[in-house]
Amino acid sequence: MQRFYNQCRLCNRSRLEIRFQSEIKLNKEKLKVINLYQDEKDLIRLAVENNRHAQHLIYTQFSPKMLSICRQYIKDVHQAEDIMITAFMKVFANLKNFEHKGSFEGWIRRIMVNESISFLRVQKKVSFLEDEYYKEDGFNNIESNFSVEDIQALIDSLPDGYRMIFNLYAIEGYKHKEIADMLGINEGTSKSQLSHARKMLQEQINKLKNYSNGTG
Amino acid sequence: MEQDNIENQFRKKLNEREIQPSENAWDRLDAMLTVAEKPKRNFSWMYIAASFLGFILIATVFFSQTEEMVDVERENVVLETKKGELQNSDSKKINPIVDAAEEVVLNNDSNNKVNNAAHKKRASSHLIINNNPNKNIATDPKKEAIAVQDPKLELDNPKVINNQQQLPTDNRQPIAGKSKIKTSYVNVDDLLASVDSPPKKEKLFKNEQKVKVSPDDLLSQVDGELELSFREKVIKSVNKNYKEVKVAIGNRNLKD
Repeated sequence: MQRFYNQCRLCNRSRLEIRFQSEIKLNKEKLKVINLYQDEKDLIRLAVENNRHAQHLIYTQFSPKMLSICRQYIKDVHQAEDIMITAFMKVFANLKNFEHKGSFEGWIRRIMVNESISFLRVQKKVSFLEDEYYKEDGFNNIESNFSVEDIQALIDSLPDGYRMIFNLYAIEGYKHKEIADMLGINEGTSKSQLSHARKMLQEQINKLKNYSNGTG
Repeated sequence: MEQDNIENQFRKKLNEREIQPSENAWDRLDAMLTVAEKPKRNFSWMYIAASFLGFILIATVFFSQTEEMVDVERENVVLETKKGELQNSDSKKINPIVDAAEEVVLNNDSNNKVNNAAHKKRASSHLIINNNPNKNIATDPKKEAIAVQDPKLELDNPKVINNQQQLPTDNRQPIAGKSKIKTSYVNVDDLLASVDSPPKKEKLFKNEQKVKVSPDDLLSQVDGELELSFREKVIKSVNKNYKEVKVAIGNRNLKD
């Protein structure tokens, strides 16, 4: 409850002001929104009607995961946050088009990924060399358990393009055909980029292992 | 597959991770949402209105330019009028013809379409004033009304005649009006028919040299003009140009 008030304060009104002047009103609205939380459809419907509290609730519910997703693609966490906010704007703008056919989280996630990709392609001007060469290499030394920070560090070590394709294939689970359509490249390019990415990852994993073996 | 294992591990761990956004992230999102919710004011109608107004302005300027030239000519007209006022009413019929012929000659001299139109108009207005030397002030507006309507001669001849006949003044007016209407048609034809008009022509030339400006009549004419509606101005200028062309065609074989 306290946290909720903290965030409502940010409509440029002091907490005290809100508490004492519109406390009752806020309580009622909050109660209404919390009750509706149980029904995601109603929450979405309220957000479509520009109910700021409903929108806020959706934001608080999904933003941590979504920021994590953006962070996978974008090395700088602040930039990742910017992209996440832009993507949330798109979420709310297109919420009326959501057909409740799949999971709501999956729908938001797709928007996040698309936004991250277009950021990298447009702002960072990531492009892909059309290159059909690839070979299937397996990962070695797979027993170790990586921490998530290690994993993120490993992924960060990749160039933007390789990382993008690796994320799309390995994390999001898209097929090469789908990736090729999304990025406007050849399927073969997607495959070769992936194998390059895996090769580099392998090297990094080996480095990590040697380092930890050396110190451990 | 091994790489599947590693990638599965990556995927699992990354999907479980959560990064808390900064405090002001929601602020920014809130602000953006507020801006987006504001109804966007559409300014495109302003551009349409501005271009429309600009067009009207240009058209008004254009038409007022042609009007000014008429004014200058009108000055000449008014003085000729004063001259005409001294003349006998019996010679009214001749005068219009003379004046009209004058106009024709002047047209030849000037070779200027606009001037021709002005002359034509001048002749018609000239005729009006000429034919009513004894008019009182009360009838002035009516006369001016007639003068205004004269440009519409070719189109509204019957109407003009009727209007003039309705005037509660001397009987000469209808006749004079009629004659003056017809003279504008007859002028060119008369001249062409009467080949032995060199004497007249000389006379015309002489008359032409006595053209002068009368400020008072000029002002009264301007007053009448200012009241013209845009529509009347358009009609006036159209008629003017039509007459120009007509006279020019009529004069094409005349010696300069």
